[in-house]
Amino acid sequence: MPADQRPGVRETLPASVRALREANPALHVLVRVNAGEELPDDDEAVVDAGPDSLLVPKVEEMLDAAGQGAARVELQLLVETPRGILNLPEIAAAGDRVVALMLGSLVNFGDLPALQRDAERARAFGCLGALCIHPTQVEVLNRAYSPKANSGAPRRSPIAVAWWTHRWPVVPCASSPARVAGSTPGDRQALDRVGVRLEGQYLAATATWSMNGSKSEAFTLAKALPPHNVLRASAKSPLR
Amino acid sequence: MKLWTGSAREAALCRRTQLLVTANKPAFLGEAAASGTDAVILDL
Repeated sequence: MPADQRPGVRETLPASVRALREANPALHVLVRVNAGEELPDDDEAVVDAGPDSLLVPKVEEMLDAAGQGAARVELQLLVETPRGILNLPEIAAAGDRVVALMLGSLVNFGDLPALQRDAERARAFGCLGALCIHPTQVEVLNRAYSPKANSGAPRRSPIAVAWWTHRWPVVPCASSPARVAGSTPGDRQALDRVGVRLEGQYLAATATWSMNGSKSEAFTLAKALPPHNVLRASAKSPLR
Repeated sequence: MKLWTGSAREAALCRRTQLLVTANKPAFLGEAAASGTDAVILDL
């Protein structure tokens, strides 16, 4: 959504949540907040709106998501950066409010064969579903994630894990650390691009690590990247 | 063949469809709620 429209939409968010629930009381209502500096403002709006879940992008570090009382909103977290991947075990173990993790980055929605390959690989890792951005992707993903398409039972994980497929070119591993470390802090956009590419390269190993409990790759290069979205809860935050 | 060994919550999440709707389009909310989806995500 355009940034200049967000303040107005935050004000109408409670009415939107009410309208959805009145139209269909069984509906699970989520709000996808924005990453970075927008998060506190979105967070404040969500408190008033009272959805069932928050969808939080670019999560890199999870602080106290245990939650108490009325503020126990479910959290579905998008882990999209190398730093987030590095902290994945801690993010996943942050509390029982974290009901889903979504891993990955960008979709080339026109490349359905690639989508199918990614979905099958993610399913083999134990992922349970995927995000998509175009109707043509639905059939491919439903087929890949349907239980009858699998010969065995999916591996158990404490939370649902979805795979957000990526189609970015991969940076050669040997040259990646130097390129990341040499980037200037002001070149955030370039760092983001590098980060997304690096994530694409390391995601498979990380998913294996997460599922098997054995750290198979070193992710020190991720520490060179600036933080995206550390979840620091305010006093009335639903994240608390 | 056993198809599922996870918890009921995992199964529910696996089968759940979530439809993303930009929150600045209130005219779409009724249509989204009636679409048969299990969940609607209001995108800020």
